[in-house]
Parts: sequence; C-alpha cells; structure tokens
Amino acid sequence: MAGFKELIGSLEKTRAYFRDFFVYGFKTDEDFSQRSKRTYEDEKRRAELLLKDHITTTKAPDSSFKKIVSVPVDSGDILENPFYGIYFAKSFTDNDIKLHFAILDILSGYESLDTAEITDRVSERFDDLLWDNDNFVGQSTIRGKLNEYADEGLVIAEKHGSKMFYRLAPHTADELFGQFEGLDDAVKFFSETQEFGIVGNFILKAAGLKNDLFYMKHSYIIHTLEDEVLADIAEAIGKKCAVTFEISGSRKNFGGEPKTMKHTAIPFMILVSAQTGRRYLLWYDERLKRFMTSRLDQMKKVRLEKGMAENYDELAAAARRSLEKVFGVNFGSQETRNSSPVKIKIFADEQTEGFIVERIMREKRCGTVERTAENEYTITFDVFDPYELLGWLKTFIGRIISFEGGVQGAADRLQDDIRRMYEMYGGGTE
Amino acid sequence: MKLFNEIYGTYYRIAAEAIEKKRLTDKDIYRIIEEYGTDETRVGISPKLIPGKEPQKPTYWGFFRRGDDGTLESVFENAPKRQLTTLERRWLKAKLSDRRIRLFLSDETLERLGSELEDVQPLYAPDFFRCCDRFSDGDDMSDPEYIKHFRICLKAYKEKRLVYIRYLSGHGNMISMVVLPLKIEYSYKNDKFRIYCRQIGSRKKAKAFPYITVNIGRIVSAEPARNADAVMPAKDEQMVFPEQTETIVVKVTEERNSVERFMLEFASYPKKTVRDAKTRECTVSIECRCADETELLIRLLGFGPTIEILSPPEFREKAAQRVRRQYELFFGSKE
Repeated sequence: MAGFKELIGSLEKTRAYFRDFFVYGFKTDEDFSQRSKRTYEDEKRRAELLLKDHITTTKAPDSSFKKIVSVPVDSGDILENPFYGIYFAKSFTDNDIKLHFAILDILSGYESLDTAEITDRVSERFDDLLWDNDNFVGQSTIRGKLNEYADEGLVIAEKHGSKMFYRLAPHTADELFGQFEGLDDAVKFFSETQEFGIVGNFILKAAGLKNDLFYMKHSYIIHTLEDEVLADIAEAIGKKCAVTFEISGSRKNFGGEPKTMKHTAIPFMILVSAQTGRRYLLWYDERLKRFMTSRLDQMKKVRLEKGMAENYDELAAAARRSLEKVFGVNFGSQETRNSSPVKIKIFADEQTEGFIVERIMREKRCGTVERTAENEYTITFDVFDPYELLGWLKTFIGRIISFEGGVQGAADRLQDDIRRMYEMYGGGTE
Repeated sequence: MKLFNEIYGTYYRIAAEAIEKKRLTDKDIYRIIEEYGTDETRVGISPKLIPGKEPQKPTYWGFFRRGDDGTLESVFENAPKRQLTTLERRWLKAKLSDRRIRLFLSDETLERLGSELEDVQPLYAPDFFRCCDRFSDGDDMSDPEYIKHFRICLKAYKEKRLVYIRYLSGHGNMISMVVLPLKIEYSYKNDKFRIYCRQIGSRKKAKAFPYITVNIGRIVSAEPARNADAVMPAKDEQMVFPEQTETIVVKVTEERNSVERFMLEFASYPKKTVRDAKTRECTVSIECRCADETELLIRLLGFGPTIEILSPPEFREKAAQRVRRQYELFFGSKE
C-alpha cells in the first residue's frame, strides 16, 4: 500500500478504529465516513498487521465489495493481549534511535560522565552515525536526549558543582528477576490484568519473556487502549490536581455527528465495571458543584492543570462517601436522588436453590439482605439512581416477587419490560 | 514519563537484539525482524539496519560494518542494556500493594523488593481502581493455606508434574484425586483462580471424567504426587483441556443504546455480527463455552426486551420459561 507507515506518532486515531473493529465487528468502511477512505484503509491495514492472528475480514452480507473487519477473541483463550501491539508502534526519527544506542553504549563503559564527555565520546566513536543535514548532532541535542532519558528513568542525572553527570539507571528486568524469586511469575500475571498490564508486558519484553502461564477470563482486553489516558489521570490524582479533557459522546446521545465536549475536572478514581466492559473517571465539576462520571473510552487529550486543586482531600472523602449510595456509576438526577429506598423481594427455594441465595449475597453490592419469609429474600437499596438497579435485577427474571419504592418510573419500566418479553417469547400463546 | 514511547517499541527491540549478537548475517537480521515484527516491519527497518552498497543511503543507521566475509559486525562495544524505566519501576511499586502479589513472592522477598523500590512513587494508589460490580465472594488470597495451594499448583503446572489434591465440590463432597494442571485461569469478575486439570488414575471416575476444573479456593490440601513422572499422559492431545462451545444467536435492537451496550458488554466473547441496513438491528452469534451457558442466559435477560434470544431453541426456551414465571409473579397467569 503506497504511503502506508507502520509507525504512528499518536494513539488517538488508531485507538478509535481498533476499538470499533473489536467492539462492533459489523461496521463497513462506509460506517467510518467521518474520516477519509485513506485513513480507514491505513488503520485497517495497521489492525491486520498488529492483530494478525485474531483479525478477520469478511464481505458485508448486503454487498460484494464492502468489507467488514472484526476481531473475534475470547480473552480466556489467549496469553497475551493482542492490542498491546499498538504500544510498540511509536514513530521516531533516525537520530532518536542512533542517539539511543550510542548513548547507552558509551554509558555502559563508564561509571558516570558529564554532557561534554559524552558528546566527545559519541563524536569519536560514532562520527559516521550521527549526522543531521551535514552537521554532526551537537552537544545540545545530546543533552536534550540525556534529559529526556533522565525523565524516562533510563539514566540518572546528578549535578556535581556546575556540571550535570549522567549514568545508567540501576537494574535491568533480568537482574531484578534474578534477585527476586517469583517476580517473573508475578509480572507475567499482572501483565495481563487491566491495571496497566501493558507496563508489565514492557518489562517482560525487556527480559525476553512473555506470559506463558495465566489466562484471563471475563477480561476486557480493549481497555488497554485507554492506558495512555489513564496514566495521565493517575498522575493527576497522585498530584491532587485538576485535569482538562475532551470527551466524544455517542451519536445517539447527541444526535448526528459525535459531539466533543471539553471539561475541567478534579479527578478521584476509576470506576470499573467487570460486567459491562466500561470504565469511568469519577470527578468533581466545580462549575456545577457535583460529582460526575465520564467514560474512559470516550476520553482524549487529558492535560494536567498546574497546582493542587483546592479542597482536594475533602472532595475526595465526599466522593467516597457518596459512592455508598451508588449501585453502578450513576449519581442520579434531581428526580431520583431523594427517592425512597427500593425494596426488592426475590424468591429462592431454600431446599433446592441455595445457589440463588449465594448469588444474592455476592452480587448485592451496597444493598442489605434480609430473609423476610420462607423462600423470600428482601434486598434494600438506598441509592441515588434506582433505574440503575434494573439491568441487574432482570438477571433474576423468573423470581422477582416485587419491586417497591424508588421512583415510579423505574417500577413501571420493569413491569413494562416483563410484559414485552412475555409477548416476545410467545408467552401469550401458551 | 511517557507510556507511548519508542524506547518500548518493536524497532528498538529488533535493533537491540541484532546489536547484542555482535556479529551476524543478513539472514539473522531478517529472522529477528520476523520474530518480533509484522509483515510491514521488514520493509520499514531492514534498509536501515542492513548496509547496502557504498555509498550508503542516508536512511541507513550505520549500526553494522560489513566484513570481507559478508557478515555484519556491530559498531557498538557493549551489548545494549535496557534499564528499567521510571514507569516500570513505578508500576512494580504499585503491584507491591496488590493483595495478589503474595501468591508469587514470599514475605522476605516482598520486603527486600520493597526496600529496593523504597524511593519510588507507585504509579497509582491502591484505591485508584474501584470495581463496582465484582462478586464479593472472591478468593481469600491472603490466606496462607490458599497461597500454599496456589504455589503447589503453579509449580506443577509449570513443570508439567502431577499433583495430589483434595477439594470440596460445589455439592459439598470431599473429593481427592491426582491431576495434571493444564491451564490456570483468573476471572476478574469472580476474583477467583481456577485450574483446568486432567485427572490421572485407573479409577472409574478418572476414566469417565478425565477433565475437571477446580477452584483453587475450594482446595483443602495439595501436594506433589508421588511417582509423578511415571503416570504422565504420553500423548500431546491429552495435554489440552477440551472446551465444548455452542453458538447462541441474539437479535439486538437500537433501543436504549443497546447495540453499543451489548457489543461492549460481550466484547470478551468471540462473536459474529450482521447488521440489517434498514432496521439497524444486529443479529449476533456468540461463541460460548457450554459451562458458561447459564451465566450468559441471565446476562442476556438483563437486557430486557431490547434484545431477543433467537437460537438454539432449547436456550431460547430456557429464557421463555423464566419470563413466563416472572409474568405470573407480577400479573398472575394472564393479564
């Protein structure tokens, strides 16, 4: 493909395409019309390269020339998240890579050197390598790379007098694995968990290893595409500072083309759903004076604001307290926030269905459970948004005795859903 | 400190691997590219790594000199070391606070590693991630007995050795058997480890049910089996846990943003989707392990009338039975 480049400068565009290929798996090139045909072809090609064992391209059922890209993967069958490949495709300049190996080579031979000494040795040893438009890359370029590597932690920068000295950072992954028994297995395990597993994968690759032990069931491998955004948020939370970010809503919510909103937020934590595949940032909107949640997969361009946010600790404590009344991630609306507690009665035959009682106990979250009669368990929820209970409650279809309290709309919707499902599954014909 | 950084990239890795070999052939470089790169990587990196005819093209990186015998010699004196970055150290530090770390590291090792990383700021705080719908009966991974069983099973799995286990079944029966662990799986939702095993032995049960899954949390005792090597299954196919799957077909409507919600929720299942261009409804075929059928059924019912289970008929009927029961609970036998 003419002009296609495997390496990319930023993740933003690729992340959006990969997500759609994986999550939907039915979109044709026409569904990606917000960007050019060429962009679509490039990202499709990139997905085919990076996800090669997992990607399939098929013809659309209604057209012989439209193609559908999908990534049908069972997370429980794979040892390495295929989406990690995107993090190994960062573009760079020729001088970046030349300086990388030249500097590491020089520093490997010395305890510590200052910038001038490093420049001299680089120019002596690698005179042929480091030319940029007929000029040898100078001390300032080398200093820039050294400082960049000091930020990344590959080298340690130490000031002695007026001079800055540099040395290689301690430890390679190999060395650590040799010194700490069991650490390699731990990194293998954590490299496939959703809390920045990609970083564990970096460590394994640096040591020439890969996870060959652990499979992950119910794992949303696509979450790794959010890790860059997540790292910035973690940094902001560590510093207790505000962030700005952009979020693109879904078409359905905004009508027409996805609309991008910009927010200034005081971030607190990431709310993860192990069942819906969504992750949210919990944050405080100072303008509206309320807690909000925003989906990580729709978030981009996270920037840290300077300085610590005012009253950060108090707000964080209030956020944690508020979560006691949140069933999922919603803080409710004016209508629902002050509604009465919801009481749900569930039927479970105590002689034969002990597993149902166990299910209630392990899945009730902030609810409290009481045995209110023989074979009857009442769960009480005092939550900001009773509507949020409905999806979970419907997993108990066939044994919901009653739903009381909350807001009338939630009870009505539940009853209406049951009526419609009864029709759908032929109940009326019995 | 950047997560998306070329120093972790494939091209740097290929170059490092080639440089480390000091002397190598063009073929060796192509082999490294093939091992680590994609089909496109060869096009992108080989002219930069492998010297061509003099004068060299300006894109050539100059990492190798070609000798008279045609082999390539690295211009670097030292094998390139990739030190751990701050990002990686901070990630490791964060993992020290993860309760699952004790499954892998002894208290003494954990303490030493903690001292080694003493000045390192963790990448994230322990309460940075909060799972809102994880099941609350996850494994107690701080229990010394659990840790012991986990390590014995992991060792047996790594070394392909047999292990003698006693465990409490879901029905409350104590079962003992010699097994070969074939797979270790962790579920984030359940917060449990489970091992997939091949049962070894001449007893009828071992022959009738050769493959079993055991939750590590249910193991009461575990120890390496005696004369372990003597009874290892010989054939390769016996080393793979057979998974029976079935295809569930579901129609998903656009109501309440269900297509998006459904596709994301079931993203961890392999599936094939066809969308009707006019109605924009999707017909989704989900590959599901037979053992997970009930779990899938209740999750599908959670979507209410915005989706409809189409097949297989027996699976649809299971949903219909539950719906009919529910209708009767709310409205009596018929409205």
